[in-house]
Amino acid sequence: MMISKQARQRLELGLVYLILILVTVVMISPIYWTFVTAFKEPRDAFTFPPKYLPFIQFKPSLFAWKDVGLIKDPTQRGTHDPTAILNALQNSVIIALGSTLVSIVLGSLAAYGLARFEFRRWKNRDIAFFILSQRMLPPIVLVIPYFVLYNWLGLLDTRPGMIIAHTVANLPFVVWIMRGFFRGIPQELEESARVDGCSYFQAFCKITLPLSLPGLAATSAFTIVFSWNELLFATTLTFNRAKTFPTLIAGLTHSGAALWWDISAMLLLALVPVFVFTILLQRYIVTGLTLGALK
Amino acid sequence: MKSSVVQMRAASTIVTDRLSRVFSERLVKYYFVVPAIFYLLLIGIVPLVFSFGLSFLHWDVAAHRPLRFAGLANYAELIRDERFWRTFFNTILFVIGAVTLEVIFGFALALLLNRDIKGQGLFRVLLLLPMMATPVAVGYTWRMLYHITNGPINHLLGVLGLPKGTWLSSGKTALMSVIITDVWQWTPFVFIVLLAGLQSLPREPFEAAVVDGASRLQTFFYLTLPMVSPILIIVILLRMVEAIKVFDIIFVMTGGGPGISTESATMYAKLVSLTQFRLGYGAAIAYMLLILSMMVFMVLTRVLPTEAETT
Repeated sequence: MMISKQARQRLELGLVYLILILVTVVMISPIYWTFVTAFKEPRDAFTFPPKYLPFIQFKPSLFAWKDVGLIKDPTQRGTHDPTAILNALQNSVIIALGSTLVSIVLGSLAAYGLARFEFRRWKNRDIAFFILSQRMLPPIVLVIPYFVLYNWLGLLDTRPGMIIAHTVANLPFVVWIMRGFFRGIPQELEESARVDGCSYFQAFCKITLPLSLPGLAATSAFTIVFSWNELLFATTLTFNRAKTFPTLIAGLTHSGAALWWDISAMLLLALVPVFVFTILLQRYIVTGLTLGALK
Repeated sequence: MKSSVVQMRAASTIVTDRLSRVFSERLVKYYFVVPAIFYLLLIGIVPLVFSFGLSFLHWDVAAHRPLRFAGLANYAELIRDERFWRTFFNTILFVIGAVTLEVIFGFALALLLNRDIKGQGLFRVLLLLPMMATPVAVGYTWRMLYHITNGPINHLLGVLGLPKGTWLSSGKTALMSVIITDVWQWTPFVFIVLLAGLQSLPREPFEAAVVDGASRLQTFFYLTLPMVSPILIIVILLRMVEAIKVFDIIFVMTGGGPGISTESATMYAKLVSLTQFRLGYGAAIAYMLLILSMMVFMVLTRVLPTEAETT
């Protein structure tokens, strides 16, 4: 029996959609699991069989959020110290923004220089390679000397110390992506600005930079998320005052039994800002990703 | 008097003006690039050299022994250190396993979606989420999922009538489980970049292939694969270089265990240098990892076609 071409195409499309839905479910379900666990009471959280569906299999509750101390409730004493959590969140935000600011300023200048001028003694390619190679290094090679040097310089467990460390990873990334963006902006605009009496630097600030705002948005999305997520530098160079949020979470189960509902609530605190950010900036993030790899 | 002062001033401004123009034209490009390079030299290269120096020292802070020059002793110890080889082997296995699966799944998905499909935007956003998720959170999440008695994965396997897995609790399956988590997190990256790559290919050759009656397999092997291969290689390179650094998800999921079955080289170097405080030996381990990642980088850049250089 022959199937018509149209029917075959329709069948194929249906199959593609089926695979697509399956893949999406698989990709999203771990996140879903953390999400529901954060709203379970201890008796619902670690049962067998596990409870998947809120309202049907279990009653959602704010128990974990009260236990963590983020929601005040006089009838329930929390097991965690909310000030430590808030302090770590604050550190993470300041370090992420600080490192992003430094790497965007230094990085976009360098990217512009590499995209617009020709360097003779060291070729543009070699300079770009040098900058990029810093990103290729396994960070452990830097973490050990940082620990020693920071100890001497009094930078251990400080926010500036973390900003300096994260910028080493973020700066090459900014140069790499922004160079692609600057190349896509026509040079004629800057040239006419310079004819009108602007200096190179003014032309860069007044013409090129505003035009590359999407690029700056994409790159800062990545640098902020990188810094927010980073653990290796954070866990070796901070331990108390400047402790970042991932470091705080990573230390949770090393002592005693895991309170999964509390941990899940804290995981959401780490994840939700990143997700909101990703959804808002999705277009730029995709452009940034593809630009990084394709150009 | 007055007029000569004015004249001199005027003359000097003309001179400085000209000078500054000459200098700025020639130097301005350096002003753009030098700050970043200076930063990276100071914060990247200086510590790197310092670390290289460390690897030739005996510096055991915890043992209160005085600092001594070690020559190649640290590297000689490496060769005899079974734990070092095991962690190195774990890292290599992790890189190969994770990157291979990520590329296969990511590429397959990209090929599948390289057509007009409704809701593609939504799908892409949802796929972005694992990739951007905090690795510490990813590690904990998968620890819950993998839990052998109460975890949803084993429950669902049971519902389907399949045997339950040991996942993170057995040395035999722990590394594989960690790899699965990494595949979950990073397949979207491969997918998104390759999809963009596929969509940027010119249409004419494919239309011609259809006219010539080429089969799908022929089109794939003779057109798609060669045309997309520069991007494919960059994606593989990026993923490998990142995977070699693996630390956070393993740190949270298993802490390197059971035993040392999932310990990565980064974790071992960190343990030696920053927990046992044998800074010299730790630096030597870290340098071996650096050499490994440079080798990967060099091998793969050799394979790269010249027009698609990463720089």
